[in-house]
Amino acid sequence: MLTLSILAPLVAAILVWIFPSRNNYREDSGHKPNGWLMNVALIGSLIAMVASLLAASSFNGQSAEFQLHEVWFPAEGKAINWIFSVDGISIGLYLLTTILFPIGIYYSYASFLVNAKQGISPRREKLFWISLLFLEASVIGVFLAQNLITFYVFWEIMLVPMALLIGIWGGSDRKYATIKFFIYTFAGSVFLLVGMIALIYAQWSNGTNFDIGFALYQNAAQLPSHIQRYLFWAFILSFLIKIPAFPFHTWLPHAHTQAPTVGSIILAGVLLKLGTYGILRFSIPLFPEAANAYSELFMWVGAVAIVYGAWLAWSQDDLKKLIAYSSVSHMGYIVMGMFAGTANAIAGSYLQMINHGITTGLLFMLVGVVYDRVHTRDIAKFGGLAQKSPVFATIFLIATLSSVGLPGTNGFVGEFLILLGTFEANMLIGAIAVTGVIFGAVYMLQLYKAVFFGEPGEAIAHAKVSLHMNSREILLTVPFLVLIFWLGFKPDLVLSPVRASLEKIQFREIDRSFVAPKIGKAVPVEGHAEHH
Amino acid sequence: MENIFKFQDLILSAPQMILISGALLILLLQVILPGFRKLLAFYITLISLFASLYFVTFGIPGTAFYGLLSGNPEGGTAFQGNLRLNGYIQHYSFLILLALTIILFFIKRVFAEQKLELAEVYQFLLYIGAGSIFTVSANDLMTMYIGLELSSLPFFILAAWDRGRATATEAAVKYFFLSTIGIAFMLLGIALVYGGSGSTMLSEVFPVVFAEDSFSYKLLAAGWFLIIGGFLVKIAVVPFHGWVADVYDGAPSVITAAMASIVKISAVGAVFRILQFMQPDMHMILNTGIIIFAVASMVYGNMAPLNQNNLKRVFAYSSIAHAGYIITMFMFFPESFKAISLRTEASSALYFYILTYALTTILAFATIAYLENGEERGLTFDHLKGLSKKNPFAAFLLSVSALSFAGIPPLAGFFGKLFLLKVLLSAGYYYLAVVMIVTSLVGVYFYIRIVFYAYWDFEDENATSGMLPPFRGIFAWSAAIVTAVLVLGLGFYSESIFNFARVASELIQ
Repeated sequence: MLTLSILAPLVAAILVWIFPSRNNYREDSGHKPNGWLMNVALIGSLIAMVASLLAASSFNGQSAEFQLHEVWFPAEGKAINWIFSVDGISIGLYLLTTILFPIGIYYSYASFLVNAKQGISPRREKLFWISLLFLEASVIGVFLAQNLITFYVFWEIMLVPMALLIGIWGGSDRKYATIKFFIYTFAGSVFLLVGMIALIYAQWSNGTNFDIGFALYQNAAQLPSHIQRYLFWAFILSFLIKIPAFPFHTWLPHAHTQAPTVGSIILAGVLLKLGTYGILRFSIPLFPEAANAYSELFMWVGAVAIVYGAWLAWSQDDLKKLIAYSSVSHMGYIVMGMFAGTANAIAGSYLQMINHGITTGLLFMLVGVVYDRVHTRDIAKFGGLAQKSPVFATIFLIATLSSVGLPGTNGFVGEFLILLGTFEANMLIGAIAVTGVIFGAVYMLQLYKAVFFGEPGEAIAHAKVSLHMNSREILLTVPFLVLIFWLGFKPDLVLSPVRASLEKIQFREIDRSFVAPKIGKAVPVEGHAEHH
Repeated sequence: MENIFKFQDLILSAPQMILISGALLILLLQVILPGFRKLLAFYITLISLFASLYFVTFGIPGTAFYGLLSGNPEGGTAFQGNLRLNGYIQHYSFLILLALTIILFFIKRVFAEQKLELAEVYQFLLYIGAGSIFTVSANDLMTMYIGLELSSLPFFILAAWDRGRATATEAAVKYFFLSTIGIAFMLLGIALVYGGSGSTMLSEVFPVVFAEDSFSYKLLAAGWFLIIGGFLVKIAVVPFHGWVADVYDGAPSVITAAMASIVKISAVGAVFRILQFMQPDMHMILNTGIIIFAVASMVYGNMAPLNQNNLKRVFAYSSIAHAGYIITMFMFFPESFKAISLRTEASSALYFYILTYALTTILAFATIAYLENGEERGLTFDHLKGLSKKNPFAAFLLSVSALSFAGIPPLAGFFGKLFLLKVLLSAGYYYLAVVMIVTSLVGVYFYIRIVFYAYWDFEDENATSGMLPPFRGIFAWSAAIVTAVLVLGLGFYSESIFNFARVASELIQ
């Protein structure tokens, strides 16, 4: 099933490629989007989704081990094998990926249709679907790879389709954004490569085994602490750039504003999670000593990102840029929680990774919906949209509140657990981070007010097409809305299968001088797992 | 008197002999057949190459000539010990023949289109193949020299094959002079080695050990360094790189593909073999030089193309960088414990790297050759604008080769670099590994620029529409597809190839 979910998008990409259809390169050609191409792409990604759900149904959440091993290529050697498997750390993100991609693909088609009505034809459809499908396969590969080299292969190859998505179908400044995105993230991955090879060399006496599951976890912990620290820095730099955490966040707003809507959905929903996934998968378990030593530093990095990102978001006048900076702020929570290292904080970080994918994915999609109709993202030109399109306003409100972290939505549980865990670890940083919650509410609600209430703005008043969401778009938001409330009331859906894996990562014992409140089953207050 | 000519010798040098016979047959038929066709020459060449490839791969049953796949050949010597045959040499012969076959397919189509196709081209290709295999398999320095000359002379002619263009002539003259000077110094080196040790036979030079301050030792050292220097001119590392950009740019692109791949394969194979016949303590001095040359090549080769607009020059400069990566594998011959245990690793890492490098280079230059048309042959970044619309296949091929050069996984180039890095790090050359990574990161900029220019939309992309013909010809198509598939797929089998080459590397002598 795991292999199928990687191969299905690849096969679909090849089918799209050989599909008999003429390419269209011009926006004003009056060309209609080709539904068949989209169907092929959609079916490929749906097969991947079904396969991932089937795999999840046979996943044993009680175990922290790698499960469901599948050998893609016959093992030709010890060092580089093509074995795929999942454990608790990857299963949630794997499902998030396979669920987001079909939505993104169908949304793109819906967006093409809306644009085609206004005389804007989709350009180079084939390459568009192929890029998306390749992106899906490589992202899934990152989450499933059980070998360092395979992991790196997928980690790198993913840059190419993403760069094409931004560079060909992006906004007016797309070339600069693409180059910046590519060079920045590639530089980051090179650090990872150095770290990986150095890690292999450092534990050379144990054989050239690149397998994440067996050799690495056992052997890396025995490394001398100064080597652990060097390797830790090599790994973490790469992940910080990918996240992007505070000093390395400058590529993100450009990439987001210039990317096509589906690019933004995928970038915010999945690609940013790769960095935090890397921290959970490698940085902390491989080098626990170094992670412990630097935990305070990186909690500060996270806390600064929370506050600074929120401030920056507050002052933006571009819808997408605002949400991009809010992503910086939210990813700050996740980094802070991971390095707080308590059970609560790590569980919260994990949950928040999923939440952020859902909420921000939905927000970018909604921005795309309105952009397709008014062709501007300047907040000053909006206003009064709630009267024109009440359904849109309602859905946007739910997304906004989820982003702010209203109790009952998914955002609340994650943020609360992270902040709780951070307080357990370090009061001061916790106190600073809490202000981020307030700033978050400030900029999101201000955005909502500016866009939806007041006098109709220039763009809204002179809109040439109906501002109502069509049925396709409403349908596409349903999975997001369901997940927002489901995870808001029952975070265990995500947390219980992964608890065993996360406990292995936890590196800070809870200070017992005060009693942490119980949040459902999600919070193992006792130090060990509660298996029922 | 003992019969000095043995049939056994011909069997053991079968690939070279087949190639030379093919070349002579073409020469003969041109004289005696009045209506001699170019097509016939092409097929003779093709059959010779395929026959050689077959024998190199599977061996000749019932004789001492073992193939790559027929076990682990310890081989033997031929022509009174002048030629050596073993698994290591078979690997390089295979690579030379593979590269030559792919290039042959491209040349057929490209030269036909540019009206440059003459029967002599194929004859020269066969000489190049035979000479390159002689270079790798020589067991005597003079034989090695002759092999090198045999493979170089056709290149001087082929570089000027497009006679009408001044740059082609310039390229040929430059290549001729610089290459000849290199070979002249090498010849001087051979003379000095002979003066020092009394023999040019590799296996006889080595056992003679001299005190470090004796005159013979100094002669020997000077001789070896000159020989290595001569080869480094062929491999084109800084500071022996002066000719590269002009020659690669001026020569017809398919010939450039052959120059950049086959010459390097044979030179690298030969150097790695003869290095082990040097006195062990000379390697310490040599290693210092290699480190300097390697770092200089990496830095220069990755910085120089940054502001280049000519595509062939971009690849030419970047080939200097790759030469820099390649020669780092020459440092594992001192007699420290670590170096010895890493020598076979280095040998197979080098083999895999040169394999991926050769295929990628051929793909890049052959695609460029396809895109060139008409009077103006210089292909610039501006010509790439809109390439993915006008010629999607060429855009794909060019992107594959650029990404492989840049080291993006899972393309073959990434695994090549990975193995080099692994060997460097396990030997403790951390700074070299860091320089390699940082410089190749700089290189990613111009490689990825090729991909972006080919796939992005530009407003002025129709300005150059006349330049880009569609990809044509069944031979070129099949060669392009095979090469692209190899570049895309070799990575997945990198470890098998690495281990396979390691078995042979244990018998470099």
